Amino acid sequence: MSSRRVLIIDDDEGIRDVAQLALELIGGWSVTTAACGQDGLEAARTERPDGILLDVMMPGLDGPSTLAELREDADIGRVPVVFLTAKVQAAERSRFAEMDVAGLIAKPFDPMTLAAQIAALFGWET
Amino acid sequence: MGDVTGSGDVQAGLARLWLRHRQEIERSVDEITACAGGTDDDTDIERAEVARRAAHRLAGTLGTFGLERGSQLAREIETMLDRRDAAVATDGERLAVLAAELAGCVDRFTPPTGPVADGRAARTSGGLAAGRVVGVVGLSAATVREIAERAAPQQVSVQLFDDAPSLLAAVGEVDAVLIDLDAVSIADLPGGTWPAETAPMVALSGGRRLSDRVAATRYGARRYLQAPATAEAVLTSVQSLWSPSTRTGTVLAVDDDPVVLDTLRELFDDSVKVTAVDDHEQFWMALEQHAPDVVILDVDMPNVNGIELCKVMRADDRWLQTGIVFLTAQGGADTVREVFAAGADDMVTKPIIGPELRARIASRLDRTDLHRRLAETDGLTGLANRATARRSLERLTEAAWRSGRPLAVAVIDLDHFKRVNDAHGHPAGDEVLRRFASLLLTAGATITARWGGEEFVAAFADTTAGSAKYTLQRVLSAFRAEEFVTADHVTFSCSFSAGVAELNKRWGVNELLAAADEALYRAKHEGRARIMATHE
Repeated sequence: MSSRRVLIIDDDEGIRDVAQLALELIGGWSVTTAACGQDGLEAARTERPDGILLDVMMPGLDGPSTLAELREDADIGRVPVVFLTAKVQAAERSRFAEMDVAGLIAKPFDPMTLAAQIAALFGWET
Repeated sequence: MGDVTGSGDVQAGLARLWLRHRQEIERSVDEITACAGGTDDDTDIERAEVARRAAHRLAGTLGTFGLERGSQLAREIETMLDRRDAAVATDGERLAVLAAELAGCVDRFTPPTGPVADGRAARTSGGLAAGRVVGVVGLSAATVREIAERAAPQQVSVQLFDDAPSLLAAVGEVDAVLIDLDAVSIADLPGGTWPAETAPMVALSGGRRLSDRVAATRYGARRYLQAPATAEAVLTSVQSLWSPSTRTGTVLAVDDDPVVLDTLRELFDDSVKVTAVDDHEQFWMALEQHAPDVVILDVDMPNVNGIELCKVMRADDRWLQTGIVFLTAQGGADTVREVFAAGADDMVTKPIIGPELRARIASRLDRTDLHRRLAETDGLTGLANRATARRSLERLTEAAWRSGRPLAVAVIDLDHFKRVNDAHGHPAGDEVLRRFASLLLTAGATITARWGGEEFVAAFADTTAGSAKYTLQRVLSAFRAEEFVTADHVTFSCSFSAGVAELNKRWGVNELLAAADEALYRAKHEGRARIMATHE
């Protein structure tokens, strides 16, 4: 399996660490992290990830705004994104679903299955 | 790559991350608790917002670490705080109950550490996975927490087990164990001996008898720590168990077969650096450049044969200590004799069997490390020996001259030590020396060395003579309070005298030591069991 590159954008350091650990060890992927939307966009431009895990609720540039900026970028606009969100209510779910994301992953997630969930949403072979 | 790593690595990693983030998590819990205990005024509204954010964060985080109940509670608190303006009066009590339960479950939580498939190889693979776990039995939760806090920055996590059998059941999941023998008696420990190859043991005990140590060692303890021990001392002791295999080694291989070279490179993880060259010209350059710990040679190579290279290496002082392992296709008696006669340490027959070669080279690496440590430390006490201490003292003195900062040196001599040996025998005398050495280490000197016999030297950088003297007073009180018990149940105690000198501009190491010696002489003369500084 070729090593996928995944970018995690989340303002919570604990979440970033756990997700990185899980994706590196279980997914065997190479992982970059960013602590806010702005840094995340920078990292996406330099790292060219195969997929992005994006937190919805962040101070400053939140998940949906980060996604909107990303989609306008000619170079990296097509990178698939999965939202990470602590609140998944039906209304929000449909709102997010319209936003050109591959899917939603609820927090707290299970680190043991996170890689499999992401791979399934992105349609990656594992 | 993902298929070979076990879930145990993830769990060990999670345990470590939990330790790393626990403080922030506890801070969030505190924010919620503060809000739950608050009254209904303006600051309370701010506090409620802080608590709501904290609850939101915990709801998303705790379950990820394996604390699902914590996430549920935090979620419930968050929901309550969302509509707090409407229902604050009725919800106040419920909020306090939830906050208390949340605090309790965070406080008690220890993340599970799962089974580890091939621990050593997987854990040294780098990234976030490079952590070790220490299993603990018999210590209080508070002590364990203290050790864990010190250990966390060094990628070591600590897990407390209820009793020895449950630790033994999980022995494959930990990298070392720490057992308090005052809480767990050896007689109650399972099995005849501890499986030290799986997880080496440090025994902690207040027992001062030699027989306590012997019993612990017989059971399989690799280290014996006298209680009470500081968290720092415990951690140092545990880490010393790992040091031989955690050090980074450099291996230089010379072989004309690219397959062999590739195999060698793949055989080792990041802890061993393998440089491979395919002819002897490059070999000499690489040898000079990398100063490898172990060299791998092939018997048959074009132009020059490995045995010649080996002989040439052994003829040079610089490569006398370097491990040399031969690879050969022919394992005939003549070749074996020739290889070892040339000064090789080991020989492996082709085709290469990965695990065997790795084990043999790892053992060579440990051995060269051991050589170096033996050359630099005193065998009995584990302190620096005289030659090493002298070199370090030269460096410290130069540094003190340059910086203009003070440097204090103490020369310490155990009082009437000959009498101890004469009356109680040399094993008792050795025990006294070891015990004194470990007490002296608690003084936190920059250099702590056994100078010879019953004489020790401690150097304190950036410290005045007065302050060093004060530190040593504490060591003296502790040492005098020690009761040593011989095998025939005779109790005795000891003391020491010390002289302390502070570096001045005109002095080198010799003058500094001579001044401390002179103060020591006066301390002895004044009746021993005291510490004197040069100006007294």
